[in-house]
Amino acid sequence: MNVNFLFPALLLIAVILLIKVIDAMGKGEKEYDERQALVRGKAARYGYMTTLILLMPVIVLFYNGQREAGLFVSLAFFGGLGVYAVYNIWNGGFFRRNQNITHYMVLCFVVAGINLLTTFLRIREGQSLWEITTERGGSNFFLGILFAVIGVVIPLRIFADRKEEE
Amino acid sequence: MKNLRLKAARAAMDLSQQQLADMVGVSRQTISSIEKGDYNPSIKLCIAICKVLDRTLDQLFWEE
Repeated sequence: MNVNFLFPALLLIAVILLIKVIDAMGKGEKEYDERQALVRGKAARYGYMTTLILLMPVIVLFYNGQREAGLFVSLAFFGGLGVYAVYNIWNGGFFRRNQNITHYMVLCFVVAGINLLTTFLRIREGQSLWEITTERGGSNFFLGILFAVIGVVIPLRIFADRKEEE
Repeated sequence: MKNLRLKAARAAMDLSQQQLADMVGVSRQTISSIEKGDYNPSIKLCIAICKVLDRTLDQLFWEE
């Protein structure tokens, strides 16, 4: 039996369970209201369009399957996710009512930290950032950046919200 | 178009946006968006707001 995938699979299950536990914390009914549902739909559309636009260079430039294609596919995938998340957070569609935002923010920084640390360790081993992002698509690097961006946008939105409420 | 009547009715009952949002079961940003005129609420939400603020639909949402 191939056990190489066992640790990442267990890690994934642990993260999903952690998200579920964080989700269950806090009081009150947790659901999206009607405006949030609209915002989420719009965010999904913008994220999808971003992914399609960023995939254009892959179709046009890397039809032979050059290794740089992995970088552009990752850029397209994580770029789309980034647009979806940032648009959602900024327009108040990311979190359900009564959801514990602080725990979520901490989780974002932990995930970002682990992934950026992995990238940093690989750079210390002698790999360049270009190699990391082209050879395996640089999923750790891009995941780290994505969660760092989410972790920064959330407090900015909270700050803007408080200012607006005053 | 800004809904100043909703804002005034909420202020008259001494409610914050968050308090009104909790009472009608939406997020604070949704109440803020309605007051700023950025979002047109469904009739269901309009009725819920009217009930909480003890106003009629005409008083809060009818454009004159």
